[in-house]
Amino acid sequence: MQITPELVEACRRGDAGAFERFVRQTNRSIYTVVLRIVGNPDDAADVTQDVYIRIWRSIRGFRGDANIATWVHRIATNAALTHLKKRGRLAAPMEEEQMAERLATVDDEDQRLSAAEVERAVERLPDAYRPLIVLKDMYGMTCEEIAEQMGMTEGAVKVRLFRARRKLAEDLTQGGVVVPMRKKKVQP
Amino acid sequence: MNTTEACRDFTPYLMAAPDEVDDLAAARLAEHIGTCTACRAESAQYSRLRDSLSLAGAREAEPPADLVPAVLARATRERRHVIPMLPVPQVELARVIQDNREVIAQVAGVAIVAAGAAWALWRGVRAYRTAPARG
Ligand SMILES: [Zn+2]
Repeated sequence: MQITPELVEACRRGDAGAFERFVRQTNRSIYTVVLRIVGNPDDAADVTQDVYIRIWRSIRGFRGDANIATWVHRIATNAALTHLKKRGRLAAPMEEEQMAERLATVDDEDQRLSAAEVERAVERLPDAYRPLIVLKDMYGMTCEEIAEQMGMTEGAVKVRLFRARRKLAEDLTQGGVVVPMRKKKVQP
Repeated sequence: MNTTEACRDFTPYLMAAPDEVDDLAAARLAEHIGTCTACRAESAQYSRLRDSLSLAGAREAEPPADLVPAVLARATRERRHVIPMLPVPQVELARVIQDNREVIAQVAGVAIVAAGAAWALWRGVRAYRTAPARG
């Protein structure tokens, strides 16, 4: 996301043309993060529109010394998380699935996971898990930042992240993306 | 030694990113991984999974073609309904004046007439009050 300080300043003055340029420059990245969190394209388009209205209303209050990309990303993730919350889909699943057979182990360092396959597996995650993987493993946010945005404790974020990764790995293993299951040997 | 039993304690740490594990746990994990090939392999596998997720995170989805026009249309409606807050943006102010110059001219004309009338009235009242009382 490349946004110049001049463009931000023009948007803050209420320049409609500048805001249009801002939308054209940022809509792909905003739509992408929203889509990844909410998990379906129709909802993502609606939430993205809401994100821009929030930005338009509040950009006058944006401090020039802050990072605009971080600010915009935060508004987008907040809106997407709020959307999931409204649908009651952000709560942890009632029952954690049984600890499944442990992950296959591989010694082959060259085993590559296709980014597209991984992304599809993320889309298939339950709503309660998907945002954690998206924000932590795809966008590199810290557990502390995620905890603040999601209104959870940092410990709760780590626990749910653990379950989310396990679920994701199981899904990939079942889909044959990760190498075939191999029972872990009990060493003597 | 039953490795499965010991390994279970390390399971959450095997999939955690380095910044999620405190120093003591990281040291214990490193020690275990040094001797347990199964956990070493599993740790490497989760590490690759996180790398793949990070790579996937850099990819961008293609928004629907009508997204930008829809956003701009909503922003335009928003501008019409929201009274600009101070400080009034110069561009916005110029546009509002341009769009409403006839109304502004009429209002200004009425204001000048009203001000003139008020001034005349005030002068009249003042002249009456300051006039010497007639005996
Ligand atoms: Zn082990």
